Amino acid sequence: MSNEDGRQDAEQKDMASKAHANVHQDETDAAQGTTKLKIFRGDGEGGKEVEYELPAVEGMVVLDAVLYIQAHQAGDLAVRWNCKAAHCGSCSAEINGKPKLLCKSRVEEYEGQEIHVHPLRAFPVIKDLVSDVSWNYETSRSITPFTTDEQAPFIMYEEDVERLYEPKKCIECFMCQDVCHVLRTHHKHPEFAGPRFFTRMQWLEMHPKDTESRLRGLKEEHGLGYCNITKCCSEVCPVDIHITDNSIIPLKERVADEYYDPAKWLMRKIRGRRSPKTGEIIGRNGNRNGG
Amino acid sequence: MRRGLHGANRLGGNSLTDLLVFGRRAGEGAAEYVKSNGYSTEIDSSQLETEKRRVLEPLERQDGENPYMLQQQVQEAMMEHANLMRNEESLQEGLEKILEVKERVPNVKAQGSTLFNPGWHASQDIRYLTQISEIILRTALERKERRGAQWRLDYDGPSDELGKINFIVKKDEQGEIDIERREISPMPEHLSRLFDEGEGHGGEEEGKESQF
Ligand code: SF4
Ligand code: SF4
Ligand code: FES
Repeated sequence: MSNEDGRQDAEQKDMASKAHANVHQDETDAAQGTTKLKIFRGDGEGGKEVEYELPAVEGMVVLDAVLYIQAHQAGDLAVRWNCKAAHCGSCSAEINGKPKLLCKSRVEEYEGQEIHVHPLRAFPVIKDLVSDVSWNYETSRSITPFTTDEQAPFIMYEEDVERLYEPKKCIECFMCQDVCHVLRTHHKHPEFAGPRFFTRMQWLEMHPKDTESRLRGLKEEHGLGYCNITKCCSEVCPVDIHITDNSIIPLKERVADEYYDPAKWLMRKIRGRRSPKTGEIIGRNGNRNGG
Repeated sequence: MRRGLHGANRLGGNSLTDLLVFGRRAGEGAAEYVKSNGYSTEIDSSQLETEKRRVLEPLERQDGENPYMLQQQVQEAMMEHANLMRNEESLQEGLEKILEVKERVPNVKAQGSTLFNPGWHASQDIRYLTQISEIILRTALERKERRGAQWRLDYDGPSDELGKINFIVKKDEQGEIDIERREISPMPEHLSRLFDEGEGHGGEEEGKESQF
């Protein structure tokens, strides 16, 4: 930063350890030495790691450090964040190659290690720590939303509702999408919706008042079969959704039951498909109006 | 605003629901209005150029203020002086701090390009942050009463006279803040029926301190 009239200099000194973020004066007094971060700087065309040094503050999270660097050393450093409370899912990026919420990862956790901060890798990079996750929103739109013929408020059994709490916790950080090898390594973006959306479809499929079936979509356009149950997605989920056990496996079972059960297959050939939810005959191609 | 749907309580959670409902309605209404009026969307190109230059200036300037530091000064001044509990002296002090930042805003400097550049965004935001802070402080000074979240330590309670008034903030000819006092139209009968007068309005005669 330039400072021609000295005011800025003094000011900067004054605020030297008060990050734009959470690092305040009183905390700075507790600053012990410095800490270093290596941050990816670049865009879709490429880039490189740049090392930054800043005052170490007890309890500081990686997002605080990044915002400190942004306020004092690299004003144009791109990072996405909103809540600083692990609730909005905006600040997901990779620390030492693993997807993390920057606002939930303490610098101290990495004591004795270098800290490398990079953007999510399964999606195109826009700049620095920000990648373009818009593919996820398109995928989301391709899922048949909640459909019902009843009027809310609904009366439902408590045990049915309880099953919906877990998938509903999702904060759309897309870290499960980032870590899943089907997207990260094999780039099956167009044919594979990814763990986040299996979670969403599980919620929809298990909702007692939803009348649609998404099993055919899961098997065909959303590529549920590509998942080979490695559980990497469940491991990184910041809200502890057991994505593989409680979303993916039940959906796989339903799809298998619907499409690979020979007795059912024969019945479908003869009489058309029955809705797995309502039992109503909905046509051979899963089309409600027959077909 | 003196009170919205949630009375004089203007705390975050309530205003969020307000903005979701009324913000959406306002947006839809505005879009509808533009469509039905057939207003020309032609814009004087010299105005566009001026605006473009203003927006790009922070990137082109050689030297200048760090927008993040100005932002932080605004945040600190507002935390200290425009909190729930306030009085004339402290509000005035806050206003002076904000006006001092306001003077420095035209000289902000951002580094880098126009691509996803938070420093450049901050150098635009700071202009609006100081503006809205000035509005909050000036209207709080003007409202010489204790009402809801305006917990003026130098007044004992709400004033009946101010209870009938909304402040409407506009730009005057110099682009500065102009506060108009506008009488509130009486509450429609179907709504006022829902309120027990004592709870809904408060007022000196009831000796109530707030409408939480
Ligand atoms: S369990 Fe399936 S969805 Fe989850 S990471 Fe592994 S392959 Fe991907
Ligand atoms: S399921 Fe978990 S990891 Fe995946 S997007 Fe939702 S919160 Fe993030
Ligand atoms: S900033 Fe919201 S989750 Fe990290």
